[in-house]
Amino acid sequence: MRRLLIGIALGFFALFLLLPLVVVFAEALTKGIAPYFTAIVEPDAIAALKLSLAIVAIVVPINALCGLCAAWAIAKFRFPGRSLLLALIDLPFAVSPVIAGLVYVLLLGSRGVLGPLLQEWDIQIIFAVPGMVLATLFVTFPFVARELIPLMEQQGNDEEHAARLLGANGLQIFRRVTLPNIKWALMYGALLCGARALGEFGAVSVVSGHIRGQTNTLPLQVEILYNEYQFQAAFAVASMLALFALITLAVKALLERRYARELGHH
Amino acid sequence: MQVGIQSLSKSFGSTRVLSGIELEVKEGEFCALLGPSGSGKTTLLRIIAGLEFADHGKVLFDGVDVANREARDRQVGFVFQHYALFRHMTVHDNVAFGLQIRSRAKRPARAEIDRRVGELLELVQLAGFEGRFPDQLSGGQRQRVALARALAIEPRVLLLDEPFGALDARVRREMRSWLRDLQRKLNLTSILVTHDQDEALELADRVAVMEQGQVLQYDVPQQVYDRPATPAVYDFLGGANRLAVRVSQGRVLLGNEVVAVLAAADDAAAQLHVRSHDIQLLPADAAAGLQAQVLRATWGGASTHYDLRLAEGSTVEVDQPRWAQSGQLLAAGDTVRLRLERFGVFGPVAGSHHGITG
Repeated sequence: MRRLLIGIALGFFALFLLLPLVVVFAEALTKGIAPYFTAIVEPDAIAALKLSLAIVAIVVPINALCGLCAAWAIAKFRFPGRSLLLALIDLPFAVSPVIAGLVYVLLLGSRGVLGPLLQEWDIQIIFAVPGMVLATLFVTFPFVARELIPLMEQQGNDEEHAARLLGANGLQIFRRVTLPNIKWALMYGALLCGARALGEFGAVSVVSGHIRGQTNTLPLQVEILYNEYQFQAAFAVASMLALFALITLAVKALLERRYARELGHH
Repeated sequence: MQVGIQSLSKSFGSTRVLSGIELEVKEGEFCALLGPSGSGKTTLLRIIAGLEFADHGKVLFDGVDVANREARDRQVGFVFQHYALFRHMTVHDNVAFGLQIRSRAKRPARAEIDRRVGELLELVQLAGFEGRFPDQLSGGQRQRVALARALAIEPRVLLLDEPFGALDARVRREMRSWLRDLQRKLNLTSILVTHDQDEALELADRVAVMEQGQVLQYDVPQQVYDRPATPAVYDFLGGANRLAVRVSQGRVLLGNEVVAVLAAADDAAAQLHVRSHDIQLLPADAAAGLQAQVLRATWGGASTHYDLRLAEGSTVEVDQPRWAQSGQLLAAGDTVRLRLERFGVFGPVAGSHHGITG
């Protein structure tokens, strides 16, 4: 029985997780090393990589900060609308990313509700980088908050109260008591947020407009290459994403192993 | 420092948790707020600390209203039930915290802070534990670190919220007498919240018995125990029997038998309270005493517990100490006579009376 279960688990792992990963690298290298690197350093691919990293660099800090604020409010205070806020945090997980993208188009696009206003001021959000950042922000918002809320709830307010009674001001309490108690969970949440931001396809695809070299992220670039039957190039670009995924996994495993207790995964 | 509470009230939403609290704790005095959970005692302590705010009434520190003073400026030492030590800091850093966060002008030099931390750890008998982390300490040790941390800021008053609640019985007893001695030595005004009557009676100079947001009685432990002001205080302090009696021309009548004689002469229904260990069991052929029949006997080491039924029908619980047991234990069905050694009578007309028979 035990062997059977382990066998099923390993078989599933090999077939659905390991095999695709191997295929990605195998396909990318079908024509050899040189064409592989040619595909990667191709200007559009480089532009896509830069844009992807730029979006991650913008989205992760913003969501870490907003997630921290939301988690703090929910975990440490009781206020009207708290349970609504708690439910809303999960909204991005519940809604299909494509829908999220469409909502932004309907709201901020040239024919959208705020479209005329934005046009008047000559601000382009949809089919441009700001829209892609917004869509990614929306989709990846829950990661940090979700990670922090249970931990902060479990830790309670006593330490903060103790610090206050010892004479600490708000900033000192945050820096010396609250932040050190959640820093690993915060990092963990930010890591997951970053991984998701890098790989986001649906929402970004809707708002991007697919302008080569300008509004293509790595996943969008892979799709375009694939649709043009440039399989080897598509897989070469995809292998970059796979590489980032592997790095994320390694860092995640490291965090989990070293700081399991503080992360709240008892 | 002297702490005064004047007509203080507090509600959470529509629930009234404190109403019309009056309390005064003298300089160097150890006061215990004793009451069941939900009696408002912890809320009162948190209001004194500045963690909560009252709807009405005043908190006075040496006669000065502290309503507009934030918790961080009140200079109170607070010890939490679950220690609330900073988990990522060493014992040294925990104790030093209150000094290290001071503005540069008021902060002692580093060597001075280290010296003070050393002194405080010596005081709480934890010298040499500087480098440990909270999760490497036992419950009793953690609570002593928490106490050292609270004392580091030289508080004007020490507030203790069920400080021994999370400790096991033996450690709790040790900590109790140790804390008592320490408080005397420091002569530090202290307020302790507890639901444990032994703890309150043993530790405090004065005990405030609280229920449903009110102080029912505030007095020295002996008075509170021997002369409870209300039936509720009697109920809370040492599981008392409650018996319906009549007071007629100074005599307290249980059924037709005279239980006691009081000064009051009113004719009215009343309640008699008597603790299970304040009743003496006499042989059935004794000259006086209430007749009763044994329903159940439970041997319990230091004392034997009896459930009895009185001749007029009500039931009474009696704890007979071991030294008073002679020969065989009583068994169900045996008849005995009871003598009430100490009791209290409460009635709408009779008021409250306390009696010692004999």
